[in-house]
Amino acid sequence: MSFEIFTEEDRQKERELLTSYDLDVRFFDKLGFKIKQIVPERNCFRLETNKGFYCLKKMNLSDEDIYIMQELTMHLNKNGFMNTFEIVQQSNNEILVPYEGNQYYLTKWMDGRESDALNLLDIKAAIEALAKFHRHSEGFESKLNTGHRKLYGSWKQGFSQKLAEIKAAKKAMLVGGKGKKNTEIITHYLESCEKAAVQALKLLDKSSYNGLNARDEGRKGFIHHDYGLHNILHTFDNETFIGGLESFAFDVRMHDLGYFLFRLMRKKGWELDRVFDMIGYYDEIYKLEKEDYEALAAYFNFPHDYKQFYRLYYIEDKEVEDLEELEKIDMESEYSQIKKDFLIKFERYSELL
Amino acid sequence: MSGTYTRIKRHEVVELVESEYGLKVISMHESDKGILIYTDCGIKVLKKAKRDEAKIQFAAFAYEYLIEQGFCNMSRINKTQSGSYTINYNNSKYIIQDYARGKIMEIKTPEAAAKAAEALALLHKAGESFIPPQGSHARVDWGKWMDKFKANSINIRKYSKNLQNKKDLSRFDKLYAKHAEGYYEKMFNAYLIMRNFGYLEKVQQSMKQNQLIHSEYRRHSLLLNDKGEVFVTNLENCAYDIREADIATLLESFTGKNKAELAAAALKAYSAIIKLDRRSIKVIQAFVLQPKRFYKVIERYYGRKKNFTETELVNKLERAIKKEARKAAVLEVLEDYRTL
Repeated sequence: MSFEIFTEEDRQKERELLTSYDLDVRFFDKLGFKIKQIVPERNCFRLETNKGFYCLKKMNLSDEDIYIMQELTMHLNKNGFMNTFEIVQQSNNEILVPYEGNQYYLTKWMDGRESDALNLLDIKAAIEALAKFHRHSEGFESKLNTGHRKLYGSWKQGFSQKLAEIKAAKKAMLVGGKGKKNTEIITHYLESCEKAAVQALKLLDKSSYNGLNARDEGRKGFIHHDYGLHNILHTFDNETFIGGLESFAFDVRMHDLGYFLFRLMRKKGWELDRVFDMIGYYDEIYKLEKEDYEALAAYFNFPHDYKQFYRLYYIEDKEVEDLEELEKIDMESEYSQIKKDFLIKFERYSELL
Repeated sequence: MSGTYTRIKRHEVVELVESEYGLKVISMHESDKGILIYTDCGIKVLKKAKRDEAKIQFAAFAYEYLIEQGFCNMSRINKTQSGSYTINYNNSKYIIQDYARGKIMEIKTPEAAAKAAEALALLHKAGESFIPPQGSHARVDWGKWMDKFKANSINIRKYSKNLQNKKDLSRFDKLYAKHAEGYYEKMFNAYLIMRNFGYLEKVQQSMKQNQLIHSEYRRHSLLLNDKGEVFVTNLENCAYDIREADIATLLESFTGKNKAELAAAALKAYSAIIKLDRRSIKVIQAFVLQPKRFYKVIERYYGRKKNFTETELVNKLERAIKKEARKAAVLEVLEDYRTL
């Protein structure tokens, strides 16, 4: 399993994914439902049946992973965290439904709304839910093999690997990007990414990253590993549910918090006060220590979004036309200056703790 | 059919309505509200729906809910015999509503303004604790305005900055440059008011109450029926949000020289049913203050979408600037309201 790939939401991928579903009457007969309506929703289908609403997903995990996922959900429930999506057991006590060479599974459908980046109350609820999720994940033990999902201590390797990719991308741009409109900006951007990646690695070396890993591994918790707004649902009775557990991993909990905040700030701007507010929401439920802040400082420094522009511009041969996105890669822009300032201040803060 | 509904064939619609709704169609003709269908169960209006089915379902349930809660002066969306709220025709979705007899409400007197505001307060009361049905798609605007105003103010500054490097300024650029700073201040002040006067508390309260609002509560959405009662239409864009957003929309829609008088009467009438505290007034002030129309036009010119003609947008910008200036009287009332 790869360390992590930073990608923006990709609706095209979702559409392609949904077309690969082999849905026909015989399949639904097998589920034992009378189907009233089937509606595509993000990366699944919403089924309205005579027995209620369900979410149908095609398995893109190994059999073992889905059973681990079920164990994770049950573990969270046992510890008092009920706000995940329950996987439905079939009449034969199985959770997977094989059909035409594929495996499918159902979860109970939850009605609600996706988290809104503009609504600070949604963000607060999402962060609090994450802290609870982490706290209640502790003490997890599986009968199955979870080794392939263990990522403790892998940040350095992951960062280094990506640094090599950035260097290669920079070289490729110098050769193949000649004559294109934004080549200069993107090359300059990749140079700054390289510097940022080196800095992130330095911060990681300087930090108590090893100690942090030992601490979190000792707690036997797990992380979500794709904790973005798209996986958070707010119901109309003001509960916050966490979906998309398929990406679960065993890693330091700061991965989830860093991933969530990085994406959010990229969207909304790098504001130190707001980030401290958000970290504060987490901290109130699940205390953070100095090494957590150090890891976050390293995580924020790394240019997780480098691939997005490079892929668009060089591999897909498309110009970056969006003015807002152009601002993010222009090192002279206000956005970049504010981000730079934020990183320096956050780093200082983590050192002073 | 002519006008908006040119592609509709009369005999096909008759067949569709009769089979889907079990109605007997007597005659039909096009009006500015849609296609009027005279049936054995009264007059119906057939409208093309711009939204997807899940969103229409949300609006349809909102109508049902409000009527159930005692706010009866509105036309519910009719259900087909199979239980759906839409019918498909020519790859488009259509809805049918009961026809409401009445004329568009003229709000020229304080009494009329009070009447419209009272109706809004009653609608808000009825719209509390609304839980949408499973499978519907709720429009949710909770909590987004404060950050939106801030982002918009940053964009106004950014566009001004970009103009400094531009050599040949267009007519639009020049008009924009002349007003940009003033509107930046308005937008940023709207953000500051929201931040400092408890916008988020209002949102939290609204989220707890599951408060449904109309979203387009202006005089064009209001009819005066034969009994002289306010009849509310255009609820299709209803959303979850704070009540203050609707009040601001109503106040902004007042025209004429006595706007201040109308606004004061409306606030008083609303407050008699649902108390407006100082924070509510400040939040309404922020909504009115933000130069929505101005921003919409400049965003089209300088923003992502580039499908426009220069002259058209210059005209729109001029109109927007005039309309923004007309808000001053309402803003004064809101500023003084604390002392009332």
